Amino acid sequence: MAMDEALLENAGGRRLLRRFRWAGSPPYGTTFGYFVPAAAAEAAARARFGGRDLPLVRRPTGGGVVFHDGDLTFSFVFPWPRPLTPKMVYRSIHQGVQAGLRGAGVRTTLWPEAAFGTASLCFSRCEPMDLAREDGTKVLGGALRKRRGAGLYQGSLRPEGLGLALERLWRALAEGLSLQSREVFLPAGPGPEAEASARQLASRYRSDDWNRKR
Amino acid sequence: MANPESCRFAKSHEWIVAEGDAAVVGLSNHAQKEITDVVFVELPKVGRKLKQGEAAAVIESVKAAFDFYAPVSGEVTAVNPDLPGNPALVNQSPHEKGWFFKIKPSSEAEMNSLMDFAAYQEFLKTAAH
Repeated sequence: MAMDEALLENAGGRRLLRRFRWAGSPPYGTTFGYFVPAAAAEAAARARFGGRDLPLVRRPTGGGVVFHDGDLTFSFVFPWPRPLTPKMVYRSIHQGVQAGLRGAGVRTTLWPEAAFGTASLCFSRCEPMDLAREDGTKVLGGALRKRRGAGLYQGSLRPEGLGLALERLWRALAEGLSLQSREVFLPAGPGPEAEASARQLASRYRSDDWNRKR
Repeated sequence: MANPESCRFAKSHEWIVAEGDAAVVGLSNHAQKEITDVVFVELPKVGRKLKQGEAAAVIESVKAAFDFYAPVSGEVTAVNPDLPGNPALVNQSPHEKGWFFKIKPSSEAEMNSLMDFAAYQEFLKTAAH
């Protein structure tokens, strides 16, 4: 989370794509949106993961509770100029991922536009512009943060029913977003400014002041 | 509370209008339309000292969180008590019931550096963000 916010702060007009890796065997964790009450996130995580330790962190983005157990967790930093609305941004990013999946032989549906809800669990139902399998099961959800003309998208892609391993899905996703952005994402470090900023932000994301702010 | 034509505007789309010793701050009608349906608002604490351009509040709509910046430096003297419970006021009444907070400006020069209504309308025709 700290690195995502650091990249958002230091993006400088660049597009940056990165993948999360979760600790544990098998790896798992839970993230929850900026405005989600910590107690609600904890209860949801406990229902999902039982008596295990509950790695929980509040995201800088909006949205609900997301379980990261077997998903492909990724983030994407991008320029966010006016007059793009959040809906336009979701549509653009999800169409990019959809194209990448299509190139890997996976068909998905962009969920039709309607009123957004406030589902507390991200994958409990499809919201407009989410990606779903043809049977309506949600496979991709995301959340956004906008700051000074830059955007941060944090996404979760569920592999169940798609027939591809996570590594292949990651390549497909990166190819799709590259095509959508007309830019190739090369493996690269975040840069010294973002690394320094992330080190400073890391303690906040570990703190109760942040995670239990509501 | 605030006729848009009597407000001054920041490039980040906050409006501010003087009210006695303090000034009232909110989000412009144009910005609320772009952000669309606001579902959560986090306001600053009364007494917090803000610098011009500092992130002072956070808004969420359609799973997207946005920073709201202080248009001038100063101390927060009051917040809109109705907004956390009814964030849709930002969309329904951006210049009246949807105000965010009141601030005691520490610099008249900062107030004067903001755009008036006519300048903001021109800015909207060209601004990238």
